[in-house]
Amino acid sequence: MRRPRSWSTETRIKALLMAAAIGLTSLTVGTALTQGFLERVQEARILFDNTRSAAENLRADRTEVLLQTLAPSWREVSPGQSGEEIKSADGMVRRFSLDRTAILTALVYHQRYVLVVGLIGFLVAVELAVFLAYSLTRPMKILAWGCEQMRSGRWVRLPPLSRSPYELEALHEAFNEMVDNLQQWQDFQKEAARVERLAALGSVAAAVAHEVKNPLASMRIRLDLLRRGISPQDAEHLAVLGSEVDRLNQTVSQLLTYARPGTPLFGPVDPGEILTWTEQMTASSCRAANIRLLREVEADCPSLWGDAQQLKQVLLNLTLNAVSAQPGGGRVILRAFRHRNGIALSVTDEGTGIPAELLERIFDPFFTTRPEGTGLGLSIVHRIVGGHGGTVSVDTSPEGTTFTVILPATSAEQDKER
Amino acid sequence: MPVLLLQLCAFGAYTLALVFLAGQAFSWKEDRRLFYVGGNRLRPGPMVGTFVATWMSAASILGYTMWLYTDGYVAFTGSVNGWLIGLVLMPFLVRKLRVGRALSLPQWLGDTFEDPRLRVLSALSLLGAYTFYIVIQFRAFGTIVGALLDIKILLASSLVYLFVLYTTFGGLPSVAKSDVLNLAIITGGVALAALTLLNRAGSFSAVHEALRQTTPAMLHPWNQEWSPLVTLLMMLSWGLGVAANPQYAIRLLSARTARDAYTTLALSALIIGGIYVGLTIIGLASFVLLPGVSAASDELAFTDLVQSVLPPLPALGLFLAVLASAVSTANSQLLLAACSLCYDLSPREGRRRADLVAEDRFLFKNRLAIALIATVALFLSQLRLPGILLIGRYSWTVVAICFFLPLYVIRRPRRKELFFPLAAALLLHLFLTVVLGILPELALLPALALEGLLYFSPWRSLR
Repeated sequence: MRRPRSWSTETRIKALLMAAAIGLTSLTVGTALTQGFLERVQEARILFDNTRSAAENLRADRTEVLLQTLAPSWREVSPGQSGEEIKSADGMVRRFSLDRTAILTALVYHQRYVLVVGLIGFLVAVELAVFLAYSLTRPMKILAWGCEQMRSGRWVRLPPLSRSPYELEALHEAFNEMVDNLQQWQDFQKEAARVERLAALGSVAAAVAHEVKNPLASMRIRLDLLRRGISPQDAEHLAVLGSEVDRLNQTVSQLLTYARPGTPLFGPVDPGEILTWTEQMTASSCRAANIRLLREVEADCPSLWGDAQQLKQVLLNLTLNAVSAQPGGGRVILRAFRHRNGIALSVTDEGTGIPAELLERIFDPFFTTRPEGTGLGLSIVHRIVGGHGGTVSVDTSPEGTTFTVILPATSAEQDKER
Repeated sequence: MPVLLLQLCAFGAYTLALVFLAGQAFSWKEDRRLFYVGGNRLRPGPMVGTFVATWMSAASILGYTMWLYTDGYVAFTGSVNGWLIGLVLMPFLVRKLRVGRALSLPQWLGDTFEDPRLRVLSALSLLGAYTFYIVIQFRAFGTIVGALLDIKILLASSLVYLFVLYTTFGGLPSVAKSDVLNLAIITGGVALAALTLLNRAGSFSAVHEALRQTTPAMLHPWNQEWSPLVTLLMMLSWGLGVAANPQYAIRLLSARTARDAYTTLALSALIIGGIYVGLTIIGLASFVLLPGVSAASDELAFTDLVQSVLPPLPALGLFLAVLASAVSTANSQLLLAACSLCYDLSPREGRRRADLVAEDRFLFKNRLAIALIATVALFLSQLRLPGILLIGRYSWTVVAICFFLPLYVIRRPRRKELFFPLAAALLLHLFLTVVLGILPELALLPALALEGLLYFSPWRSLR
């Protein structure tokens, strides 16, 4: 954050409140002192007049006690100096002058608590100004920090404000909404770019697959014909050739499935049936990899709305991926359960998880970390689930990975849910 | 102008200067490193200001001057001499402290010996010692201003309480800025008072001559009440306490570079020496001009003495110096006590880097802790507790037990091996002072010896 060059809010509020506090304190204390001073001067004059009247009737030697009552407001001056006169009955004259400093000293002493409390009040006002400024600038500081983070490409949400003015709360809420919208817009842009990229790739892949599939079929037939009447050693070579041709054929078929998945034939599908089919289809692979396959279907799990064949393909791909994620054996759990957005089908493995940096790319076609993989399994899953209006999510950790497919329930179930 | 009005105007002017010069309490960009150690970016100017102003506490100005007035040079031998020994040891700390970039001494201790218990124990000790030391500052200033203005002590202490709160809320940067002002007031006040008294007494030689003729015992470095050994032990204890005091160590940590830290120590030593010379002149010349002033407490005696021997303006300067020293010491200790409470005693705070929102919340907690500790100290300052120097002795010796050995003696720290010796030393100190009634400074030495013995003993593996 750049340090602002002009005066801060705290300084401005402090200056404003301090000016107000100084002004009010000076005015109040000044008025009190001035008024008190004038009153005391007036009282002193009245006292002087009364004393002078009383002294005029007394002899000089009997005025001493009387004149002492003039102190400290009046002090006697030397004969040569100017002052107000008091003449005794026997004609003796003494001069007195008003001691304003003594009056002020007595007044300040009398008002000392007011003055100290005024000073304390001033300090309290300054400290309140500091906290007032703090309560205003804190949300702004957090907001500026949030903007700074966004500028650096880090998504942040600001914490809810408590005990702050509602205008600042509204500002924070607006910022958070802006962040949400921007995030949604960024996700949308990413998805749009991905769809565009995949569409182009799909078109090319379909064309290539179409051109490759026919020669491959022809090669397979010729290989079968060649198998008759050859030596056992050549037969072994032919078997290898045959398996490679089959693998190429499978890849091309997958590519075609991905590029032209076909129009789904929607209807009610029993999730339990899909899980059972998947279990049967992958039983031999699981046995070979020393993996225990578990199936959990929530009681009274409603049927979902989709194409049974395509959904079987989805579960099959996910389960085969789960099996290959645990080369040393383990467990794979297939689940079907109700979800607030429909019906969820999940496949959980106990592998080592997917590294965070690869997560964004796992649904891209031809992306694979296995040498023998085609990189199309998860792309097909993503495409089929998208075609069903569902979502597929991944939850991964070093203890394992769960793929969850959420699909719409049948209309009847949805009606029941409502 | 009436003296009372002059004094009130002076306090008002100090308030305004502090508010304008201490800067902003809540800076726009702050984190715990900035708050506790000024982001390790303090330059020599503010460093010297905050180092010296923190050094000169109300106990230094008032306690030392009155001790000198009462007993003569034995005060120098027993206290200032020890404090200066502590200052001489400090350069040895600079590199050692700055290696780990810790934010507090308890953290440094815990990290060095890889023992979180050590951090908690030393933080608890610091929290207690500093809270009581803040009490001294509040009480000293409260008593003096209460006597000057003839007002309740609580009201006068509230003034210094508010000054301290205001300057501490901004963390070390704000403390350092206000300390530059405080140092100017301390040096100005002490110099004006000392020069006025020298002028009145003739010269420093004249003061010495007068003492030689009237009370020659005051010129001896130790008196008959305390044997030289006791005086030396006391001096040593004060020295160890100063040398290991976290409020100075944390300033060495806050310097921008090690070179700046050394420069600060060198310049501070000169200024501190000058101020002590001034206080020595004040104490001795006051005795020559007006011997025999006594009152119910050191604070009241000091007030009477200063008002009697100095004209109103220099006297006001000296009283402002006491105020500035009380504020500068209390805000430094308040910051360290809040750090102990919120940082060292909160296990979740550790070393983790928090984002701005969490950091802001953490610093707000610190400010609340500052207000809480200051309020407790203000409350305690109104109770009948032992005198200023005695509370100071307890605080300094506890600090010395916690930090002297690890800072100066232990060269190769061994993991988790200091906790037991330190806890045993603190318990022994408590036993010797509270149960047996031995002076805290004297109890410090056996406590430190026990700590060292337990740490370095060949039987330590049996524990």
